[in-house]
Amino acid sequence: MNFLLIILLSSVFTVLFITFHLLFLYFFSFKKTIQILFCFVLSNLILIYFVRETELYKLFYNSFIINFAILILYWNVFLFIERGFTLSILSLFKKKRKLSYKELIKNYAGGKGVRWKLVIGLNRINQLKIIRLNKKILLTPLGRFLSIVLIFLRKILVIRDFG
Amino acid sequence: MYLYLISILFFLVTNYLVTTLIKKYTFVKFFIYVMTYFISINFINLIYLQNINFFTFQVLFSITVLFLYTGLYRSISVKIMIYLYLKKQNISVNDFYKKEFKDKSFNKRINILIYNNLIMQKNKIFFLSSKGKKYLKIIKIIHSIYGIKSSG
Repeated sequence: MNFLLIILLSSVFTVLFITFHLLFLYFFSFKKTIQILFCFVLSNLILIYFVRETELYKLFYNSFIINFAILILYWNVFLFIERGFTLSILSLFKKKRKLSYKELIKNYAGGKGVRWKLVIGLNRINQLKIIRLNKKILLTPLGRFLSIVLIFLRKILVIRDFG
Repeated sequence: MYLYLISILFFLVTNYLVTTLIKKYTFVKFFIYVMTYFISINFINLIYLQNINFFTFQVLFSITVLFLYTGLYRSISVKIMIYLYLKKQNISVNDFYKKEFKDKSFNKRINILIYNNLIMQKNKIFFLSSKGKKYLKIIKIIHSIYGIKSSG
């Protein structure tokens, strides 16, 4: 029975969370990361408020952990929709039905081009001081350490190739 | 506590065995493996243990592992970092773009789309297949819900 109650609590959270996120996307224009986190906190607070005087309150701790997992999943899916490489290539055919290879490269991300995708990725890790970016790309000591961690994690999960 | 550790070890060992048995272990296959693991372990939990904390842990663990795998398997930043670490030499942005990014990331994804019958190629021109058109319709709907004008 408790299993079902936790699933019920987390289902209510999911509905609240997605509804708030969509509303925030339409009515506010601040950073998307902050929007998602704010909606996560708000939905959990609403949930606590309504269950605080019931038996369900004891199960909220478990439900919160599941809600956190839902946040990770939702964030991942949202990033995939917004930034997914393969999905973006497919959505290039929105405006034009037939495209040459050069057009695919040039029109990527609303005309920014495929090179932009690499540059934005490099700038992101440059800001985190993982690489030093001048004319050449250089790994910083932090970058070297993180690379070792990433290689180790890839070995643990037996990831042999890149997708 | 031991139960949690044993379940993680079981997950990793089984994953290793699955990768050795199955050729071309892609993200989709890993996703199916995680789902199978999650359903079976919670089925056992529901029948024999009935431990809510264990169930909660399994939900968080499965989703975190999927999130981690996606990043390690697909992220461009991870690819750059590992490339630089293994080659032990610096590379210019242009060289990396031509040698690694365009060939091994962009072209690979186009080939995946062709392999999955989503796009077709005729005389160096690419166009959507009927399956691709269906996917594009779904993408358009999702993009309009989230107000995304151009993804990338």
